[in-house]
Amino acid sequence: MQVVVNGAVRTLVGEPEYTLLDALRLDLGLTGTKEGCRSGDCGACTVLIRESGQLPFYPVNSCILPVGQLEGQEVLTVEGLAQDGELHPIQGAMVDHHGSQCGFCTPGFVMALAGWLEHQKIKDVEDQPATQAIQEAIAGNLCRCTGYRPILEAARAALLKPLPVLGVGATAGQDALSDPTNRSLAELGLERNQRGQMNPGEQAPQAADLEQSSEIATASQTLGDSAQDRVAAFRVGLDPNGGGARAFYAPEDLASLHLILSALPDAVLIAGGTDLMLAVTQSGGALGDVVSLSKVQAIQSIELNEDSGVIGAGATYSDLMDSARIAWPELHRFLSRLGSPQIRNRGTVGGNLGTASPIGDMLPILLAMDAMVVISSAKGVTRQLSIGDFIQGYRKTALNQSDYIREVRIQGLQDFHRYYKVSKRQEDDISSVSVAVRVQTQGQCIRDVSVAVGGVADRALRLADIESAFIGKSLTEASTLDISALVGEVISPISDVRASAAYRTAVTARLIQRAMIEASGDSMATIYEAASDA
Amino acid sequence: MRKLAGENHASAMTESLGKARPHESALQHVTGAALYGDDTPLPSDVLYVATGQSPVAAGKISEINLAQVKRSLGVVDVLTAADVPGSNDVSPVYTGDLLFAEDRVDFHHQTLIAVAATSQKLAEAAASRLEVLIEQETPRLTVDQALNANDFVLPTRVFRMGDAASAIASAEHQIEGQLHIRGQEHFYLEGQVAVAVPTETGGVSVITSSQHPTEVQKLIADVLAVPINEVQVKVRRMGGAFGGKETQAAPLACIASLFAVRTGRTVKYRMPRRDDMVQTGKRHDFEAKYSLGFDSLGRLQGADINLSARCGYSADLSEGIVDRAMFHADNAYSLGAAEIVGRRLRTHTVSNTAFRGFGGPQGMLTIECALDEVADHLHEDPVDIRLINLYRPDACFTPYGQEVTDFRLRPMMEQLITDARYRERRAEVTAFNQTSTYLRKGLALTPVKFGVAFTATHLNQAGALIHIYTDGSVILNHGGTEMGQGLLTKVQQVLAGAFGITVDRIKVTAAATDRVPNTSPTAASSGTDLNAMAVLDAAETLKQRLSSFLISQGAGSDIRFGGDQITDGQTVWSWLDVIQRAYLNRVSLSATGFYKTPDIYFDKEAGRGRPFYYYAFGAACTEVVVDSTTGEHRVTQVDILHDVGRSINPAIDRGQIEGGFVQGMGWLTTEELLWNNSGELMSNSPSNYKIPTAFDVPERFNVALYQKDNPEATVYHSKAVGEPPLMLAISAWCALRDACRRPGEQLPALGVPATPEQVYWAMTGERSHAQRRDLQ
Repeated sequence: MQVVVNGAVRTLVGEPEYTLLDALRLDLGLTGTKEGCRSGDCGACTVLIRESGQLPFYPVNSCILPVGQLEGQEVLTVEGLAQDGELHPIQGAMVDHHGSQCGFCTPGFVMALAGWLEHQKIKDVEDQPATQAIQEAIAGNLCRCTGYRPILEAARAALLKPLPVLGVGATAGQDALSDPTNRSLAELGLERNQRGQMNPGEQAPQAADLEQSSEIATASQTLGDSAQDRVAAFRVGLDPNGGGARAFYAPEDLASLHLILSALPDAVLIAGGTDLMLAVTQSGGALGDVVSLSKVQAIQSIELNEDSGVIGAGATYSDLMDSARIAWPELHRFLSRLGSPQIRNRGTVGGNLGTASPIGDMLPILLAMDAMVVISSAKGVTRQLSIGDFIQGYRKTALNQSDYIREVRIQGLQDFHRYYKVSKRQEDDISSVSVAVRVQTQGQCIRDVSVAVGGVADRALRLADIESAFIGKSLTEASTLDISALVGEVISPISDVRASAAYRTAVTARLIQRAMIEASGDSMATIYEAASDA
Repeated sequence: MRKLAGENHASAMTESLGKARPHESALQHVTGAALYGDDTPLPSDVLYVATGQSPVAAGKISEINLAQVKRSLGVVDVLTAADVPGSNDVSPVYTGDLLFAEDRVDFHHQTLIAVAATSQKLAEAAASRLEVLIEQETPRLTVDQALNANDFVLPTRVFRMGDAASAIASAEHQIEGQLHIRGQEHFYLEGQVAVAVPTETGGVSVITSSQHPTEVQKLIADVLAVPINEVQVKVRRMGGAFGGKETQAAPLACIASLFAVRTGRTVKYRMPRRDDMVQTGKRHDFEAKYSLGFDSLGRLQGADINLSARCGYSADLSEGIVDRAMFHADNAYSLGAAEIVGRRLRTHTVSNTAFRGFGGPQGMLTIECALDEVADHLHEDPVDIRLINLYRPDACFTPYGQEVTDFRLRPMMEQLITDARYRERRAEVTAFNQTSTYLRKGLALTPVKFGVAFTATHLNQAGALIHIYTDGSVILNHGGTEMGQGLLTKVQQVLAGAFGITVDRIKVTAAATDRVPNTSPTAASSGTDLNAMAVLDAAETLKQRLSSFLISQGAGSDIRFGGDQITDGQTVWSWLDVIQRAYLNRVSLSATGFYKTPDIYFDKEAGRGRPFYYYAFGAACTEVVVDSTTGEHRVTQVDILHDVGRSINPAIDRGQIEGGFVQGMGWLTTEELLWNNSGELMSNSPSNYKIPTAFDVPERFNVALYQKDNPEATVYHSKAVGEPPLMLAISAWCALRDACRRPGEQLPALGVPATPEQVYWAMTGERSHAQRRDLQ
């Protein structure tokens, strides 16, 4: 398969779980990108990618990114950032502000901030952003030497400088970014294989249509008639011999996806891979046939209305954060504490659902918002399940073989709702406890309430007994109701490395109580606000 | 040659010194050009290493079956303890740190075997096929368990001054308490790594990420059973170290070297983070117990401090680390009569090792924790109790008998109290806490006094090597290693100052055992103190030669170097001109230099002496806010005043201060090491061991240098800055504890680290929950 790396077309071969980091370091000799943890936690491996020339670059953790997802896309590493011997403004600022000490994390910071600056450029932000915006931009990058202050200063300084055009378009001047035909990529001789549409703006088919997908396949290449042969046309050309035992598939529309899933019922589905790839990088596991959902645009849309919304399973957290900024501010705020920018740029809502981890941060929220999960079979037949029925146990869901998650529908945006997460560290940490509460009122009376929790059982769950205790009460009554004993009866969390059972129980009760206090109209300042006022 | 025309030659002397020059590798860092061990270009037949590790914490090995490992795809060679031709013991000082487990295992994940294979993946797959039978024993994991078993890695030591017990007993007031202080994972971003290339004579040439190339060289020679001169070790830079690469790098280099010699191929051994977290040593955890007697003003009359360290399965560097904890149990205070006891407990855990501060932070935290209780007992502001107990002219001897001279902390603390508006903010915090329902604030101002020098006196030596080439360019080499602390940058500036040339003329190079031999580790904050002085010695030799040469050519006797020129006061020659003429006249343009720190000695058995050349000082004022519903907290403001003597590079010094503070803050707040009852580390990855992010650093982070010359004859009268600032973060822990105090109640106990959970229990007073039963 081919990828554009630092403006040059590169051919890569490897197994389905082959990561971008290994491709860069071991095969392309680009050792500027570092391996710090191989689990997406430290950011030393951060590079920029973009799907096409007219989209902005964004930062990702290359250590947990399978290269199969990048066919035909563009990668920019720290080696490709300076142009014609001229440092990128963030590189210059990092030197001027003493932003590196040992330097090992530096390429990752440089790339994370270069990516952030790209988005600042597009948003045309005039005001200097708050320190918090920069802190969030590098929340996925660990530095053990500097204490970060000089890096924050470097970012502030770089923001005031004119930014160069990055990537393939760089030499073509300012037009490249707005070139709708993505000519520059094509001019580089990048070969796209026969199955995909060249123009990513084109709408993928909304409905399953096996016939159509077979047309796509047969139109392009001489193929046999068997389903296996037709599926083979969708393989990403990662295998050096062209016919390895395991393969990577990256369909771009539903029809193709259905064709592949029908032919390969045992294939592993991968969306962002931010959880799945850890099995590879941490435990040395191999995946079987892999089907990537990352290019299926039909499952990536997000629609948020006044009271309800539909979130495509393939929508990334970053997309969701952007959409939620106005329409669902509580979610927007909450998501800033989910993973890091690099993780949010790849991780998807569907992935969080499919993993069904007891500490999946979206799950209590979806439970509180009475979410319905839309599941599709490999034939394109869809069914809906409430999220409570969808999650069946520890990392166990109602998905059958070859099923995939199409979208999730939520409601209750008009109702009072609050989402909390407690973790040892504020940023880029896994919840010890998370709590989502939604309150529906009639006058001052609580008509209905949803209390959902994560991190306190084998799965995220609603606490029906707690909900019952509140229903029918006035908001004032609810805000003073002592539920701690009841919470202790209805949850029995475990003690682990993140927190003890006693703490989880105590804090769950305190957070539910806090939500009711806030629902009753008392605003409760947070430590963040206190930190910036004082 | 032209006449001197009013140039200011003195200016060049200061042109680079004292300036905030960027790190010598900054450009390489930001472009990705800087090469680390993992980036070493490798031949196509390179072999990769993975290890088979113990699945239990303690037991006797009854059988190791390698059949499946050897049969695994891509395997070229497999090693066990029996295959080591020389010594299997790679201890730095004493004995017991093993390369491979022999007849028993003593910690979970101890290395049993190593595999060399054609790829990293294949090596790991092969190692995972190891079959091992172990007669499992119940592991001893805690200090208390080891104390009960009377199991020590090294003997207990005591510092005694006067009769502490009777001084405490006869004082007006007494407090006593204890503190469990957890350790810390280094989490250097660059994991441990070594690359070994076999030589034609059975030796090896090794690239390693080590603070102590000489020790790596010696240990490789021991393991291979070859003379030291068959082994070359080189360190250009490390991606962070913090003490974690003082002894912990050696086993990788030794194993890679063994494979290289056996197979004749280049071998790379880089630990995946997964292994690095569980197989390398950490900061020691301590059980500290203290008993203080004091008068009604809060002035200490006597102190009894017991520091018991969990050392892990072997001695490693625990002798010096526990010594240093004892040396810093007084911090900045005259304790009165004192008895300080240091115990070194053996446990079935990975052997704990050096970590920035080297035991000092744990000793210092103990006395700061205790002083807060003295203040609480007397209802005084803790800062006043600290001030009243500072060393003073009539009480200036430490419990180990060293006189504290040039004590700067009183003016420094007073300045910081003013600059940080401590008194006003104390009132504001009190007012806030009176009205706030669930958010609470806390404030603390604590000092640091840190002794500088290796307490093992013989290590206080350094060597340097300088070559001048015929185009006037200079190669600078010394035994110090660069781990991000800016050592090479500072030494480059020092040499530029000495030669009076621009920094650009000087290339700094990798520490290499065949250039400067028999070096000490770059540790104990002494890198610049030692190596820059050795460089000045070499520079002086070369300047003498050049001066003699010029005088022999008819120049006046008062030769000066500066402004890229050399002059006798009458005539001025360019640097290049003099160098080229010296070469043509057969003057040697290469010199070595040497330095040993003067006036230090210590009698370990008596616990008396002058172990430190001088002290570095600092003070920090930290404010926090805490949410009582969850225990979540934030540091909202930090003000630091830190003593660096005369700064060689203020930007680098500030970087050390800020970075040290944040690293210390991580140790005391979010970084929690937890083992299960089987002795397996549970906090074993960055997903569950959380070092600070940028978000944890307060926007109001004010750092000022207390610039006053070091009266000792250190390089340009500067002071060491590597370790001391870490302990400034004790102010953050004390501030959190201050915030946890419930109105009208006693100052509560607070765990270390003060995670949200620990803060929560401290605030609610439900201390019974704070001690985990399931995790150690």
